[in-house]
Amino acid sequence: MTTELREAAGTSPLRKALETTTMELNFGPQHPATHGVYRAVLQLDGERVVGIESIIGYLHRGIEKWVEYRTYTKATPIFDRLDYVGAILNCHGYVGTVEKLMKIEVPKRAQYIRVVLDELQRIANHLLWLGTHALDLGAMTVLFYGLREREVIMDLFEAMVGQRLLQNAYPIGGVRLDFPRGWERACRNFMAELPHRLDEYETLLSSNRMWLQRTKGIGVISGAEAVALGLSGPTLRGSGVYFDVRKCIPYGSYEDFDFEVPLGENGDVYDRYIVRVREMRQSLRILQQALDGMPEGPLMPEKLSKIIRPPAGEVYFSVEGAKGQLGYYLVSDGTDKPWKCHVRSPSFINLQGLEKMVVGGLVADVVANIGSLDIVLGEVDR
Amino acid sequence: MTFESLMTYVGWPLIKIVILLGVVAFCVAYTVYIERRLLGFFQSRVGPNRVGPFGLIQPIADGLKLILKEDIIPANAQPFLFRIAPIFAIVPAFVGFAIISFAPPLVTGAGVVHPFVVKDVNLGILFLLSITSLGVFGIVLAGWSSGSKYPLFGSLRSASQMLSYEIPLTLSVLSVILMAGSFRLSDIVDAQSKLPFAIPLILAFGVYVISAVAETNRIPFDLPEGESELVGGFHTEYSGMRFAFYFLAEYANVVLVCCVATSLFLGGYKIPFVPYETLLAAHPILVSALGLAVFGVKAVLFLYFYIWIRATFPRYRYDQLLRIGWMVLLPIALLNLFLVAGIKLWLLR
Amino acid sequence: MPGALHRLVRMMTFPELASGLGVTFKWFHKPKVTEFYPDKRPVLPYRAKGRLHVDLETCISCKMCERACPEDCIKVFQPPKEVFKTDKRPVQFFISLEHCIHCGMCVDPCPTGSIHHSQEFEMASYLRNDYLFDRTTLPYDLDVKHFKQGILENVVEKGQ
Ligand code: SF4
Ligand code: SF4
Repeated sequence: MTTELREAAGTSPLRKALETTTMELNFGPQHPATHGVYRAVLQLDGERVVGIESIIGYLHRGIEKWVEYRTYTKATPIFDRLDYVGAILNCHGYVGTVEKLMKIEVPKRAQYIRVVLDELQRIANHLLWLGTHALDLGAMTVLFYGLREREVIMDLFEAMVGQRLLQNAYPIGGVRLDFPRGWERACRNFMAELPHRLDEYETLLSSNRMWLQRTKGIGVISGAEAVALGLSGPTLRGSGVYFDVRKCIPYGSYEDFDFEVPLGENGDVYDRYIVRVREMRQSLRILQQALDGMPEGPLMPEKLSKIIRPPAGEVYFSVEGAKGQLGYYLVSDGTDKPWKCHVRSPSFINLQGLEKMVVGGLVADVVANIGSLDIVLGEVDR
Repeated sequence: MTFESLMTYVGWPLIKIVILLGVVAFCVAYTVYIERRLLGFFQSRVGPNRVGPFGLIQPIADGLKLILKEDIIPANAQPFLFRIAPIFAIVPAFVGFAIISFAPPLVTGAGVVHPFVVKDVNLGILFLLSITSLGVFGIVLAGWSSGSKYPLFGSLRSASQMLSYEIPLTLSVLSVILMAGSFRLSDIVDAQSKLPFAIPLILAFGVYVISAVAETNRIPFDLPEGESELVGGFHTEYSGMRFAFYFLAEYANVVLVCCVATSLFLGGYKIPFVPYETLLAAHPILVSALGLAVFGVKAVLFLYFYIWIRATFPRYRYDQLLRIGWMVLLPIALLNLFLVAGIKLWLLR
Repeated sequence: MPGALHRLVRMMTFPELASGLGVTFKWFHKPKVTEFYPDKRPVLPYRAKGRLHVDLETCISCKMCERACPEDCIKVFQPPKEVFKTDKRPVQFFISLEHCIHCGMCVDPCPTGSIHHSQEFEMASYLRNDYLFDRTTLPYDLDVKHFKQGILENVVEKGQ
């Protein structure tokens, strides 16, 4: 209701009749586009979003507390359950933290194997994200193509560590087993095929005018705002901020590899999309280099006691997770159980950016924005 | 009233209606199957293939499942409107088939003609347009009576979408009428014996295809149901048989649009490259059977294109969709209409 | 002006949409990737972490697996002290697959390799009790080795 109309109506009953209110719309927790049990309470003025409140916690499992009752070794598999589509990266983050706490030197070969698996996991995560994001915007075929490629990665994981989704890939100190026979060849075949498939996705999406109209200029968040909100990962890089843990705080031999950090320009949904697609190509580059330059050597450090009992102290370690900077903060009191554990889960923090992105947009853009954030509720709620 | 006249006015049409209803319902059910199957192929998977050979019994299984499901009426709903809304949706979708001639009329001895159409109304197209636009009532009523927010959104979107796309659709059909000089569908088909209208009226055909996609609420214009935003759109609260009605209505509309496009733009049952007389000389039944087959093939090709589009494109946003309707399609359709009228007036006089 | 014309032509002729349609059309003809699961069973790779198998003949009741399991789903009962000196085989061995997360952490420390994953992956059941394995229901590892040594009969006998 416009102001003039309201003025003209004065305090008459007409005014009451003409008054419009905002509508509250429950978006989730059971909703096809929220990627899990995420609930957003939208305030709508017609189709326009004037307010959004995120309600989370439907998938809270108390992992951080749970860890305090388990030994360091036993805690490893549970962290896979944080971001269950990028489980290996979570695992790497946790074991890396314990290794940093105990000052364990991971053998070079183990580090390279970790890089290979990490990058494969990143590609798998981005493929699934691409599919679901496209499905949110109506392009359902990309989902199936993405799943098809992801399936190959899953098979590679199954052959390498025995599990497909929640792999429990790394023990503290290194990796369990070397590549099985023929694994490298299969991996290289996949790496040769993927760029063509990525080209196809880009044909279906990047150049499609409907896709561009749906994503360009939607959910803009500037670099400064993104930094202020603590966003990380592709969501931050989409706004043109150069921050990638692999480059800025190198860990696990990432400094050995030559790769670029793709950046967006405007910080809109399209940029976040294109950053991830380019990131997959960069991951392929890293994979290529890691497989080519794979050093020989042991997989586990020589002197590693069976019982992990780190010295008292605290440690923070972060890896570039699939969604952003995935950090682990551990406090040890010298026993074999962590005294306190905290996870800086990128999905949770990236979700802060949602309000900036959607307010003022339309309902349909909420879907595009949630998709472009790439949240996994297991990680948001922990 | 003699028996003959009774048969002509009541008996035959009734028989035809019953046959047509059966055939159309069958076709619609299998359209769903074909769509799922083809969509699967486009997406590098196989689609439903478990029930029966090649999954051919899948539509029947789906129907049975839907019949056996509980019919839920939400507490907030307005029960009466909620109950009748699906009927509003499904009836227009099926009535539209009444005026479509599926095959050349069968000429038996002594010059008796059996047309393959329930009623070849002389204002057929007009009837069709007005009937199909009634379908929006089913959607709006469903959205309103569900007493829930998502359906309300869906129905509001749908109402504005259908209103905006009806106009370019009608305008593009008008140019066909100008070309053919008749509202009667069989006349329009006859006017295309040399050249299907899709070629001279390429603009109108394009506008028709796009607005038809929008009219039938399919990707990239499937906003009313926009699965990712509005859950199920206007039929979110429906279950069981009432949901099946909407489902059937949607696919009946798809089939109807395919049939209409075939009749209006692709030459209907006209058999390409073979003159009508030679076939007629061979056998009258052959003409009708071949014509029916040609009609079917054309319609299925159109359907294939439809599914292909669905497999490829993302969805437009609500405001973008309306903008395309009013600011792109409408001017093009108008321009085309004037062009056709001008050509018809001054060149083809 | 030519730029605008070019854009108009692009807008009206949909070249990029056509190439998108080309991609889907290409895959329409390619072989499909669907797995026909119950008809064609996949062969899992050697390292796949399927259902746990325990070779109770070689197990020495050291309880390493029990201690390593993060979900506490293994319980091993050592034989009484006198017997244990000569025969280290466990008197009872519980695995609750209901809680097992197939993480493989029990397999790593086992000194004899008695506990290990199999490639079996069809573990669905209607009854909760079906997931609790004790020494009578544990799937024994029917290795070729056992056939050769004639242990198989023993195993089957003891299992009943
Ligand atoms: S696989 Fe993991 S959860 Fe299962 S019994 Fe072994 S250690 Fe326990
Ligand atoms: S670790 Fe191996 S030998 Fe020890 S109790 Fe477990 S299964 Fe038996």
